[in-house]
Amino acid sequence: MINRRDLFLAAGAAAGAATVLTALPATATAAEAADLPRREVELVAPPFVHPHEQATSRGPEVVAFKMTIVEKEHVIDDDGTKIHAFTYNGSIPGPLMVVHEGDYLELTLVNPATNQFDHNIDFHAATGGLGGGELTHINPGEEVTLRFKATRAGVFIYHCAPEGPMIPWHVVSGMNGAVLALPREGLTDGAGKPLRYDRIYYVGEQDFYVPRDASGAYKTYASAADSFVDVMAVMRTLTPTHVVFNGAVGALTDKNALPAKVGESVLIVHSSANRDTRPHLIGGHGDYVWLMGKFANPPMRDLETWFVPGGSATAALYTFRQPGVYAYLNHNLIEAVLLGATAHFRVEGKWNDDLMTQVRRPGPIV
Amino acid sequence: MRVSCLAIVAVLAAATASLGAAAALAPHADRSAAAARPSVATLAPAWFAYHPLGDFESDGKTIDAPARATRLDAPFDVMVEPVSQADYARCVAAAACPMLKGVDPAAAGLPVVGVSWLDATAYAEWYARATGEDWRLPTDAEWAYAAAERFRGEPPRAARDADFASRWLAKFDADSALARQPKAPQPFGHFGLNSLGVADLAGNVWEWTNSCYERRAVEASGETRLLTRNCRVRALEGEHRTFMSDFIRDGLTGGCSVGPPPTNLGFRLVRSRASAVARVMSGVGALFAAL
Repeated sequence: MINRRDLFLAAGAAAGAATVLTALPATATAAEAADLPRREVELVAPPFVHPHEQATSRGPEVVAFKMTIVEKEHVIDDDGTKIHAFTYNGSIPGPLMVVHEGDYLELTLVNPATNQFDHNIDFHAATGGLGGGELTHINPGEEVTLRFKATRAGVFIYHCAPEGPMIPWHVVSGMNGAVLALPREGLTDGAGKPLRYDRIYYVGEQDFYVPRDASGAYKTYASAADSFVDVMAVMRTLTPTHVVFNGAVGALTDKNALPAKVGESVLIVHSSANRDTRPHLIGGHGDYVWLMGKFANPPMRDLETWFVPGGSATAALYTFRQPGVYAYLNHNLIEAVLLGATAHFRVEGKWNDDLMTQVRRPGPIV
Repeated sequence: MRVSCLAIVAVLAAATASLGAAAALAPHADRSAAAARPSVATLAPAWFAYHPLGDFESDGKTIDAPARATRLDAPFDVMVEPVSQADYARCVAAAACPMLKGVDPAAAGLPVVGVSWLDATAYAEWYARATGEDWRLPTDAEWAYAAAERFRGEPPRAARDADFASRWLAKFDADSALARQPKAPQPFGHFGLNSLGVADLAGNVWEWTNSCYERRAVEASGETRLLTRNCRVRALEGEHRTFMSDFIRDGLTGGCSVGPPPTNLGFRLVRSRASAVARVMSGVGALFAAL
């Protein structure tokens, strides 16, 4: 049996050879990459993002992360509807990993023996090896370390991709997240003007397919395996029972609202691993939106609603100009209001009468 | 004179008894509704402090509802428990209320939920007809009074001179701080009795009132003046006050709306003692005429 580490090293060497053939600059062997400066980063659960530089003067380095796969029961709405979730690091979505273009993202993925299923990870930011999926299959009680070069700047999803029907099942059970690979000089407007953010939030949109019993009530199952056949039947309808942000209805609303202040610029990274979506900020705009989420393309300006094709992530930058409550939602309003795809921003500051004034209060028609 | 007064009291008592019997025997009376007579708490007339419902303005600015000393003039009876699923099912069986999903005709100890104001009103009209008594939904003020220490309404949230955005955020924070209640209706008594002996107030059922949404202006004198009223939107009371369109059976939130929605929509009825007395008096008149 081939040792997984040998397999990884062989694949790494093969990838190195391939890049030589295409004459890309700054290629390195696996050993050379391993000798780069190394930084270990502690991940944090979304919507928050681990501390990071926006522009960096440092050269390429290995940025090392560790994620543990957690299979668990997870409540997805206010009625207490429960699913058997599969998660990267316990959260839906998995944590946002931030690197710079040209860095090497190194992930140690742990599948504890207490889990029931084998898992892996497919990085859309990675090149070859089915995004790393081919090199990261791990059974309960195993771990694996993958390193890939961030050759492109942008936001990219990652997700679990075992085989066949396991792929969509694991993805709609919560196993997806995103990587933010920033340009080394930081974000720009595409014409040389640097763009910076004061806050960054990571919103992961998630579709769930929960079976119902004869009376219409959501069913619960003793185990994920017990639920598989019924969940697959609902998945085949392509009609989700829940479409939520960050794992549950209300995960980012009311007391979980995202805070900001007038004058602050906020980068919203929005991923959707499975279905298309169309984020909209009620009362605000996308000042700069990297449609399709790739920073080599100039951002679009002043968007009202933007698009996130299923299987991708998008980044939108907005500077808040008014205080108050903003709903940030999937502007299929049925999905937003009835299925759950809504977040709130809670913005403090001084009201700007120039931008908006109630000229006359609601009252009797005169 | 004194003697005749006593005589009238005696006749009145007799009339009350005979009217009760008459109601039970009236052709439109529904014996099953009468048999399921709820226990009631009788509340005496009283002054109480109350932040009335609606949106208030002063000098063209939104303000919190001003506290008002409010007088309930006549005693009234309030159902100790909300209307049960079994109660509601009797109205459905009498073809006076629409069938609702999830109503169990055997559930005499569980509140009916998923009820719109229109459904609740249909029930009240049927129940009043069936019993020959003036049962109806309470006004918001009556509900507040009956709820006593359980009443929350819409507590003041912001300083009088707070600007628009801070008032908005204060309301958002206050609403957000309320915990969501589990949805499953709980057996009567689960949420306990209040100091007036009324059960299960401000639990996980929000109760329809008859009060319409209003806008009011507060004048310099302190008096309030009605600006507009929308009776397609009625007040519900429970853990907090909320307003819903009269046809809504399930409160939801999301999208632009913020704050926790009512978990379940249900209701209980009240009966004014004043009108019961008036009815008896007119009955006495008829009795005298017959003599």
